[in-house]
Amino acid sequence: MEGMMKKIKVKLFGPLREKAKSDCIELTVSPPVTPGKILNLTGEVLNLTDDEKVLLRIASRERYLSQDEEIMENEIYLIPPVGGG
Amino acid sequence: MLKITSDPINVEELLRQVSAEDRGAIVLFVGTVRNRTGDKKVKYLTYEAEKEFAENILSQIVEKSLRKWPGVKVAVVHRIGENLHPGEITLVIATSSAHREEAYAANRFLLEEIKKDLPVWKKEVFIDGSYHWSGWNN
Repeated sequence: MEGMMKKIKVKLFGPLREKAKSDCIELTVSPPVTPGKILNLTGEVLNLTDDEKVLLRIASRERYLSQDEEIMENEIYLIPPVGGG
Repeated sequence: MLKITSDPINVEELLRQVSAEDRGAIVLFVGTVRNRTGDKKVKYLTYEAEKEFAENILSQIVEKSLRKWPGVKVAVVHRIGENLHPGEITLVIATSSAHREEAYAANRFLLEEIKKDLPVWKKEVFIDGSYHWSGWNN
């Protein structure tokens, strides 16, 4: 079963990067890899509260991903609330 | 011109980008660092982003605006980096069109989409030494 697991690099920004003291973490995820699984696993690793997890979005390098789509990339972006402008 | 940059923004350059003889209206939004958030005095801001990723998303935001207002010319530059002090320019959105309505509407749309989706993170550092990440409970 281990061979079926997928390694995903999760890039972190802003408050998440500060909390992790790193700009990325690596997760091992069973397929299908979805934003929901990434959020739950990251939440465990970074000890995020439910209130914090609901603020997060997942993106690939090109675009934001919807909650139910399967992640095909090996590297994704975990997006805390943005503050541009 | 669509750019995420750590260099100071040249407002006149954006104006030139959207100027043309068939443009009867140019709307310019200039965002600057405010010196206060609530009752706290801001010392400086940090805007964090991964340039290529943020520029990808910015392109998509602009494409969305061009689908709604195809005749509008757009130029957007967002500043990133550390130690951006009150009064410094952090965002410029320039839009132009034959008539003012489209330029105003597109400019406002771009600003709201940028605030909602552009992957740039704002850290406000206050005079008392505390700090806050925008939108985050800290």
